[in-house]
Amino acid sequence: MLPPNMHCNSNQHMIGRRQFLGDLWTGLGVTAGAGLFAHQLGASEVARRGKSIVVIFLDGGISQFESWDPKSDLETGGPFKAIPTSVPGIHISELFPYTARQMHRMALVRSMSTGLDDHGLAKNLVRSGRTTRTATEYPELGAVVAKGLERPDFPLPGYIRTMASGVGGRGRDAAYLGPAYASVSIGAEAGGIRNSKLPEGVSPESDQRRQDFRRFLNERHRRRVEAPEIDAYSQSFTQAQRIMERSELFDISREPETVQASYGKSEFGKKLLLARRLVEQEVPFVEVSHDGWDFHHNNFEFHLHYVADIDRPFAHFLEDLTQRGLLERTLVIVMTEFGRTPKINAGYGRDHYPNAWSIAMAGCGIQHGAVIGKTDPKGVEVTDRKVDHRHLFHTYLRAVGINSSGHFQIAGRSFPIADPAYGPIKELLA
Amino acid sequence: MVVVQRLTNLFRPLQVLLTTCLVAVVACVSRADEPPPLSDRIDQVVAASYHGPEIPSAGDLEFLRRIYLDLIGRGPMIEEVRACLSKLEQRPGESQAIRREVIDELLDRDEFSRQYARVLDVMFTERREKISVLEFRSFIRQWLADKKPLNELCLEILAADGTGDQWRPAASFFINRDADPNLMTRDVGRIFFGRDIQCAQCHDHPLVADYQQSEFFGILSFVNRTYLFLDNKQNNKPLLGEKADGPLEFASVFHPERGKSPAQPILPTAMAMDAEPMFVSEADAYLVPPEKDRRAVPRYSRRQQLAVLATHPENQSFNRNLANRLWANLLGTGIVHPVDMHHAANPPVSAALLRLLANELVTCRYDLREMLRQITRSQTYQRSQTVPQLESWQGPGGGIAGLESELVNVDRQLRELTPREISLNEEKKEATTALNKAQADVNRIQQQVDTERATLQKHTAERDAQATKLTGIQTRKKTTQELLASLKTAHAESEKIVLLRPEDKELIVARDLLKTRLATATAAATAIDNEVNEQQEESNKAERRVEDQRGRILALANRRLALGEFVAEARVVLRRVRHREQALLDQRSDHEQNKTRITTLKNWLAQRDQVRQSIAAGQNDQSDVQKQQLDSLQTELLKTWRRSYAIGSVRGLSPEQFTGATYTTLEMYRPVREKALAEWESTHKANPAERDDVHKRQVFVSAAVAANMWDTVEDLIVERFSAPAGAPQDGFFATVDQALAIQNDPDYQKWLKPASGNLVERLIALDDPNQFAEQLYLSSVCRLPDEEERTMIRELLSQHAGEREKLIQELVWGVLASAEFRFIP
Repeated sequence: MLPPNMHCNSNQHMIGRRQFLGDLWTGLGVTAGAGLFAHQLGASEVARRGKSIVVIFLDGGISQFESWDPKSDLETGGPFKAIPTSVPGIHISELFPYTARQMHRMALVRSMSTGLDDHGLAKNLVRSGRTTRTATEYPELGAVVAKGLERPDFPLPGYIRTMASGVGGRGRDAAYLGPAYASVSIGAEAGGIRNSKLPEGVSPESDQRRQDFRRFLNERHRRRVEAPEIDAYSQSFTQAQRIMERSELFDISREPETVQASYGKSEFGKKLLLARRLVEQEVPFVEVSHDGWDFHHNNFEFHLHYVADIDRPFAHFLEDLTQRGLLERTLVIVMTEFGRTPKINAGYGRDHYPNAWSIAMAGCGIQHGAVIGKTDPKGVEVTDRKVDHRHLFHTYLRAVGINSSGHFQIAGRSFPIADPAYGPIKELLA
Repeated sequence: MVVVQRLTNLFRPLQVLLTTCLVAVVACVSRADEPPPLSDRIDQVVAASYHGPEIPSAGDLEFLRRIYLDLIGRGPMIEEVRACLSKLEQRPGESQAIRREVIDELLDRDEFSRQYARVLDVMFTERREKISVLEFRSFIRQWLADKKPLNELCLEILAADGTGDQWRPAASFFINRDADPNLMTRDVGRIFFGRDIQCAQCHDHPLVADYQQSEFFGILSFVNRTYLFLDNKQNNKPLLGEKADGPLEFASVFHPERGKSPAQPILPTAMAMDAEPMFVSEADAYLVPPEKDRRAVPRYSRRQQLAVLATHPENQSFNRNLANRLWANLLGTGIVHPVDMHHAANPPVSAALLRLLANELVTCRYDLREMLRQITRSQTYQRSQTVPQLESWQGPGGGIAGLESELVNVDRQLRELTPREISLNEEKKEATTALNKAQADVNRIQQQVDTERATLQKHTAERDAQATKLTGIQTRKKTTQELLASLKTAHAESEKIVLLRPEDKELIVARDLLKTRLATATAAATAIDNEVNEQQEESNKAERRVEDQRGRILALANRRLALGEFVAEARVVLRRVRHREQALLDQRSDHEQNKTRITTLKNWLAQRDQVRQSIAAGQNDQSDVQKQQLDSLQTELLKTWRRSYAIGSVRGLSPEQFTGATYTTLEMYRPVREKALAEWESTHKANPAERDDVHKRQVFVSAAVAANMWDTVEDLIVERFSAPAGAPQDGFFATVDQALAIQNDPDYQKWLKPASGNLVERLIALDDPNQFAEQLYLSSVCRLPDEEERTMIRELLSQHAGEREKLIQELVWGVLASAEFRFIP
């Protein structure tokens, strides 16, 4: 049975609440933003703020052998050796020397077993935390977190995908949660969000006048008719203006030279730096993707180059978050859609392998230096604590304080937040 | 071979019903005491459940913008506003009549068919695109222009298979869903019956008690034989193929121990077909059998049965869903809301209203225009959105005591329902038992048929074996006879030789040998003849067994059909019981909702009295707390009134309406319209009769304007303002990318530049600030500016006289970006 007061939890009320605070912002005017976006907050102060998730998505499927679960087996292990890390007893691939020194901040899950080996389906699986039956689309983690960590007065989108340059639009990844929680792509430069600069021929004064007239009309309209939808619409313009006023927020060239240098010149480094700036602003969910990890040929040579591209910036990202007191409230996940085969094929490649693979994470509520699960010496089967995307989904949400066994109430319908038949990996939660 | 094909039977109840409707219609026309029009009855039903102060009608101009947006998807052009204003001025006191004229005139326009083609396209496809949406829209537009019934449109959509250019677009519904069986099932349930049964796919719905797993499989049984066929002879054009079988069983994932149940093709509220025809063998079941690169076409199509049953006037869930969706389009909220959640725990806000509309839909034969005409004529549709001032309201006539006695009354009515519910429940049990029994009989025969079919297979194999044997013997017979013939000749010749050379002993020996061999061969030939005869006999017997077996199956099939009639009858009985059950359920839910509404009002009145007493007694502390409680009771009360349509609803413009409103306000249509008119004149020079055909010219011009409008404005607005493909499209949302696009998109800015007769250019030319203000407001939000607004505009114009063009663009932008423009008044 649906709850009898099904309309009382509707997002109309949420909008109403948001609008109330939104009007306060409008009232405070232009200067009010400065405090919210100010940098250099003390570590303890930051720690009290809202939580965030950063997903680093290695698109295509990184090899667990060449990363988090190296094997010395002659037949399957490949040419790279395992190196010790900052946690005694944990070894990872020698391709990750910088990350190895951050292991005391991280946790590994080496017993992922998900069953799907098609890129598209597998991505949908790990991003949505569900095994989709047809006829139902589930929202992705980003949208769920944007909704779960929603705050009425928050001026930025809750789910941001980073881009190195260019401007992006709204994604279609929020399913039944609605477009308000869908991803917004943002480039790592001023105006990195589409239409965030005044068009040619409109001066700031001119913009001011037209906005004043708009608000004048809205105010008069509100005297005649009141509804949360109407307020939400007015509020979206306020939000847009705040994004425009703060377009430097997306501009990583505002960072000191040394900081920019420390993240490196690569696209990935730039996106990570943008992610850090966004996490500082308490954006609930940020995704940083790194593409091309699908090495059916020359797996080892490619991993050598690709891992080199991410190892140092990633390790620096964790270091930087720690220094700024952000890692305590930020969950960082290194995600991919599946692992690679133990068998090395004729072209020295590894093919898709969803039966036994790994995921790494760090920060916010996650046990430091933990390793969950085990695979056999050849890396063929999971031999201990087999888990899948559904357990992980619960775990991510719990780590940032979202009750993953609860429900979202959307327009008179009730949706379980995560797959109700599963639960989190408890030993991973600090 | 088709045993019996009696599709026509399906139409039997339809004909009866249509005849009844006809009688009803005729009766309406001929009798003097005809029932009041639907619009009045809507108002009566809504008024019956409302006890608040009278809510005024929306102002004439508010109504004008509302009705234009709802019926033709755009606001009125300034000329249309002015024409209406002068009509109102010339005919004082005739506002109601003028409103009706406007409704009728809009419904008659080509623009109406265009707008509703989009509305219905979004309803059916929910913005999924595979077959071009343009084709589908123009298919619907033509349907509406031809004034054909809506249920038949739905029938075509469910039945089409994508072949034939004329009907191809209708197949969009299934093809755009890739003919995925579960998705087809879910969306047939949602869009045609208003029941989102997807959670009943794997088990009975955990939250909704009346969404049974059997219901999901009931619909699935109609569509699971349909599949997407890519025709490689036509560039892999997607079509729909259908198999002739596809038995289905289901088991609950929560209760695997209960075992599997066979799925019956049956729709919600027990709509099901008469007994299905049966074919002796699989090959008989196809017009085109399924082969590689060939689209299978069965002789008997379950999907076509679905089309007929789904859109049948006796199908209550179809009628209620369609009525509810049409209503929700005009009033913002469905009587059942969300519109795809019709079930007992989410009752209609007024079941009486839903019944009225659903029945009327049948009576008017699914005439879309008539339904919209009646709904928009009602006071309910035309109500003002402004919340009433409750401070000065005295409360309902009878006061709190009156409400209390009404509550007692409602309780009595509820009690009176109980015995009727109990006895109906008994009837339902009986009807269900009867149906199950009849179905069991059919199932038993079906089992026998299955056994006999296996035997037939055995017999057929046996017959084939016997035939092979016979052929073998006949081959041997042929060899033997050839040998015999040669031996006969040789023996006869040897006799002749012996007569010529009687002394040659060796020849005699040879002749004797031939004689012996001949005797042996003759004996063998006789034997093989017998063998052939015997085998022939065996073969004949085997053939007869096959024929007999086919006959037996035929007989069983006929018997099954006959028994199927009982099932069909039992279903009719059950369906009638279900209809009465629905009627009782509706009464109960209306009484209960009424009770809640009265109680809410009573509590508010009582609280207000208390506050007043406390104030009178000077108890300020107490009155503050009480005031807060009063406020929350009042919010609740107003919500109840708005939900039950006593106060006008607040609705955002749909993406299509927003597109139309923006384009029209900016008057981008002017050059297009002029060009189209000139083109019409020049192409029809030779034919003045055609040239002066107002309707044809209107269609021509509105097609040109529509094409230009979608070319210009659609890209910037529609995708940003619509929910993702496949999701329900009726919710409102505001996101930052929308606001950013309106503020900063260079295209949007371009529309604000003065050009060929557009709004900005015309405003620049207006020197009088008063006229300026009127033109700006009438073109955009369709109302006259008040004094304060006129003053504001006048001051701005004089302050910024130096940059007049820029200022005008700012003002126009301000109006377009305002909340007033974004919502239906």
